[in-house]
Amino acid sequence: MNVSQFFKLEIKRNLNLALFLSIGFAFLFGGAIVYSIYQMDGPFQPRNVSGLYAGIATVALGVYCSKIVIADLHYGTIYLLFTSARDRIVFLVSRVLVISIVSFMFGLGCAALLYVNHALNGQPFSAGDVGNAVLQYVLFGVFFTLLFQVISMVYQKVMQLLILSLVTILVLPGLLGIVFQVEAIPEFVKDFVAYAPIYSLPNQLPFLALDGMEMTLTAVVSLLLFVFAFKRLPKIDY
Amino acid sequence: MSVEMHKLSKTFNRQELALSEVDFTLRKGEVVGLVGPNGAGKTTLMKIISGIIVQYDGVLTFRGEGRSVGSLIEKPKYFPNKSGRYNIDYFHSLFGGDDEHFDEIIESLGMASYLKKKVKDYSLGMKQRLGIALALISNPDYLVLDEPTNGMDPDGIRHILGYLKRLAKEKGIGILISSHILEDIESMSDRVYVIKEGRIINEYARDQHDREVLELTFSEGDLHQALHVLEAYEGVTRSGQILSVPFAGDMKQVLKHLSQNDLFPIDVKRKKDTLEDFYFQNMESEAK
Repeated sequence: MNVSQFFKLEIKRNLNLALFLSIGFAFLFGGAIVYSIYQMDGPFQPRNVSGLYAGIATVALGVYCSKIVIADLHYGTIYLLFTSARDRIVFLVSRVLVISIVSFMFGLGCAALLYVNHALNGQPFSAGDVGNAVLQYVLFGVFFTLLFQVISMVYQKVMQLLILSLVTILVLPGLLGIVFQVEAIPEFVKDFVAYAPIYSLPNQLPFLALDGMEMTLTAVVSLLLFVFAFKRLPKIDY
Repeated sequence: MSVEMHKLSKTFNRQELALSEVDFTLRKGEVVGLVGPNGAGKTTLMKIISGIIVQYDGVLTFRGEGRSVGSLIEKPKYFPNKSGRYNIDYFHSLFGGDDEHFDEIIESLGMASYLKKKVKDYSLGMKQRLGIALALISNPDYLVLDEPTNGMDPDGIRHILGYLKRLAKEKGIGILISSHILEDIESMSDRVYVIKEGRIINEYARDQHDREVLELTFSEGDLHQALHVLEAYEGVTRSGQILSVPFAGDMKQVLKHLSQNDLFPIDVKRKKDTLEDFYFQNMESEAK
């Protein structure tokens, strides 16, 4: 097995025009805020710039997270990839690697937009913002990819999985947010929801506002999902 | 060196029995056919050998060296928006194997001039060839092929079946092949398993290819007695008023035996025992 060649081809398959267009559109979308600050010295902050960028970036990245694990179910290439335990593990690792690179690029796009905002409008920007944007996008991508991977291990209907993934990223956080408006719900439940990556990532990523605790928890839950998938994937029928 | 199944059963959703206590052997270097009606369990059996289905009851054993399996199950699998070259490179890099082997597959399957095209633009037959190439790319010890010649023209079918047969003999690959075209299966298989409702109901061996059969038509009145008299011959089957009697050697002996019992068939036909006959005899006898 030529691992480097395999990863190279896997990355080539996923770094396609659609990805660059998604980042480009997200950049343009966020750029509208940069432009309005430039033109009207508007009341917006860098968090609004990254927020509007994330309006497209999180949806596009969410689609990538699900596509990367369900494309092989859709094409049936699972039948070629899953013929041994070793190949199933290679599949899992390669998907995590590829989504890390894709997420990294979305993070870089966000950082680039913040830099443009800084250059044009003189708003704050530092090297730390680049690392922060990249790290938070990578956490988002890896967590949701592993979550969808685990879901796809028990439910293998492609179209429903794609819809489920969009609902998970776009609708579920809003629904979970209701718990904060109901006083009767105990505080520990509210804390649990607030720190759950499924809630915190879609809500905090647009403003690059994940705190250390949220990032740590996301990393730990992602690791647990990876370990679960690593153990279970070789034992599942396809 | 072989892959063996012993009392292998598979149930889906805890109720639907797809395979029931199947005993099955595929040796390296031989071609084994698998025939049966739709839903008989062929695909499930192939998926188990290929490692796609891993939860089952019973024992699956790979004896001797080499346990890699290449497969083409249900239909060819590939990335349709990528070129043939990309698809082959992708799985080649995953499974490894030397480049010489890789080039030989491309050449033998007549794919060289199609590699730059996107696979979605391939004809059905060419997609099928790609499926076979991807099954072979890992340089497997065993090859599992479900309807591999689907959509191919007659020349293509002959070419592919000949190539597969050579692979088995020259490279010692064990091939399990299924098809609804019984002639194809018969022409290339050393043995054929007949599967129905998840059970292997009979096995058709190579030596049966050369066996002849007497088809004797009797009147209603003689039929029962004729059946009784012919019990001495192994493998006699009945279809309506026709009794099929496999024989090796002189057919006169069979007829003499009948005449000694005052039995005279209305019609006598001598023919080769084909897989098709064997298949339908087994399906009919199972139905009864």
